[in-house]
Amino acid sequence: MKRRDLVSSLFFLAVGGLFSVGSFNYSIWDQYGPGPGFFPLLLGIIFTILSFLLFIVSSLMKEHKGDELVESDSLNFRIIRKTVIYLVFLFGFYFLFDRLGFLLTILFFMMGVLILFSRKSIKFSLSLSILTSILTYLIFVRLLGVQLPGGILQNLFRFY
Amino acid sequence: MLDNIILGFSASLAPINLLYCLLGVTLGTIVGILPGLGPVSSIALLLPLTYKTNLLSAVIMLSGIYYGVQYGGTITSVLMNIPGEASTVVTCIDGYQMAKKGRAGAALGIAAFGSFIAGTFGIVMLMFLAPPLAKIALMMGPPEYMALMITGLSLVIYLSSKSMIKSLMMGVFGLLLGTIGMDPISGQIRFGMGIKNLMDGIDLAPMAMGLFGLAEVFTLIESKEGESQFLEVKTKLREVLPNRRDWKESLFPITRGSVSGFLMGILPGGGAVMASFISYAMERRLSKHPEKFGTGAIEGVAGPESANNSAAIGAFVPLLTLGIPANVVMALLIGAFMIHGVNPGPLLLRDNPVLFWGIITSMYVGNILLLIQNVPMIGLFVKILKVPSKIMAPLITVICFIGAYSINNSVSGILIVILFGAMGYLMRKFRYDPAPLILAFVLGPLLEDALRQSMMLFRGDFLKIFERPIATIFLGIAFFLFVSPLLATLLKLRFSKPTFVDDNT
Repeated sequence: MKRRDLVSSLFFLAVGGLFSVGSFNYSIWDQYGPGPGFFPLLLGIIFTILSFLLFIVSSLMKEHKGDELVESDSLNFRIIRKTVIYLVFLFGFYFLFDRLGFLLTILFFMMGVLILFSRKSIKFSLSLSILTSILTYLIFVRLLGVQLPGGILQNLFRFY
Repeated sequence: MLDNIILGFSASLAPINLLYCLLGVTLGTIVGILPGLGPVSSIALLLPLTYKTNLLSAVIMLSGIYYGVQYGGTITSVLMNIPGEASTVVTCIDGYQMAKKGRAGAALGIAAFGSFIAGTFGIVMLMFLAPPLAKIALMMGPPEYMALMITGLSLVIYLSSKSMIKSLMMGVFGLLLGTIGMDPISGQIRFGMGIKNLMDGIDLAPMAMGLFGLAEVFTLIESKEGESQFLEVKTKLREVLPNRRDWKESLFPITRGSVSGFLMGILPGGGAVMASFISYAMERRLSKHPEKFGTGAIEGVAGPESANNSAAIGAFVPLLTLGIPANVVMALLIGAFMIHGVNPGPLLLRDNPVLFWGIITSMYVGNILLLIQNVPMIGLFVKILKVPSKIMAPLITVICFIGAYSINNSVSGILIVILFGAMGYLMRKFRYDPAPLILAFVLGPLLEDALRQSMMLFRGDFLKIFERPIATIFLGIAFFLFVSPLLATLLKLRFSKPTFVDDNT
């Protein structure tokens, strides 16, 4: 945990510094009292000091044995590989949602994730994906009136 | 008072609100049963959907989820020794032992009845406490509010995790994120970086969905799929009803749990988790047979289960009277209020009595619905446990994304969920607690407003705050909370020093 604390404290040190410097773009104090830059500057300074404190404390701290033993805490690539792949799927969802429309995006996303992660048969994955798409349409679009992008199927089915 | 209660019931018993209440408690129970998915993630998921409903129905449903979760979490704790929810961790100890002895029905039954009694106690207390507290709150000015918010945040930071610096950092980081967007006083856009969607600041719902919901999904994806192994349970009505001896042994633990839980719920950062642990420790200490604890003592189930439900209701006191959230769930509820342009706080009772009393009385209705639903339907809920986590993960993701999209009808909501999801995931790995971050993010604009108004009032001399007794007391408490870990360390060093000297001599 020591190394992670060091890394994260340095990252947050930079974030605190950016907020502090950025605050000077706004008035810190005017004739009526504190301006829009006052609160972020105050917080930015406190945040920078705290990050620096964490850096100092973690550099002085000894690494405890067993600190890294919990598998769920591990940053080993073998463990986080699945999360990285899942993240790619999520960005795929984000890029396709407006272009393909909600029905097809949900269908492809569910299919991909179910086949890859839960190792279910194509038949099962396809059935569940179609069911999810249809239920999304019925619950969110029809029942709750949420406007979701129709995409390329909009002209075919005319959702709205 | 009676007129207000009738007014409240006439609102909460309206068919549409009754339906939302049923939906909330059922969803809450299911969420409580599913290990991992907690009330925060599920309320964050459903928050955007409340745009389409009226505020009372929305808050009734979200509150139903919150106290429904406390019921649902018990089922997995007793049957699988896996807490469905953090506040039911302690129920595993004796609940699972009771289940192994064939008394799962009695454990679940006493938990349901105890929760009902404690919940009802909490509601009655809320009814009596809320109006006078709201009156006191109206007498407070910006400096007192500012001091109160600092104390609330300090308590959350103090109680949230092992590392005080890390929690404090997350609190300040939440406040910093809250400054992004339009300045509440001058209207100037801060840290917008020219991005149109940042002009109004970061939306609470996608942020919370990412930090809690999506981060949970990542954990599900990483976890190894295990076979669900839970004990078979007799779920006929007669078998889940506690017998006379059970009642006799549970009566005082339920009473004590109700009172202590409610008090813990009011305290910022206290909440249901701590209430259940305190109740368990108290019951064990007060018991004539403490050795029975850990081997299936019904008191070890009745006390904590009552305490966590009472605490869930108690958390509504600061929300409805001061407009200050006691925990993350309450912070999200503030989000629901704000979506509809209503500020929860002391003026709520005066300006919106139907809403105020409607929410309170709906909790009675919700508690009764939970009792009716949970005792005979335990067997059905147990079946939900069999849904594999790898199937749950994409389903939760889809709900998250659709909710986030629906806020502004823009994919930028989805991007915020992904970014904060990744951040929440890394925060777990680096052991940073997201709870102070969200709470501070909600409190940020209110705190800034109160701070700047106070500074104007004091003409820039902040030390004048110490001329105001209430604000001084609050700030004193906050100061004590921050220095107490340091004091504890110093005291430890002082006591260990003579031993060290003796060793050398």
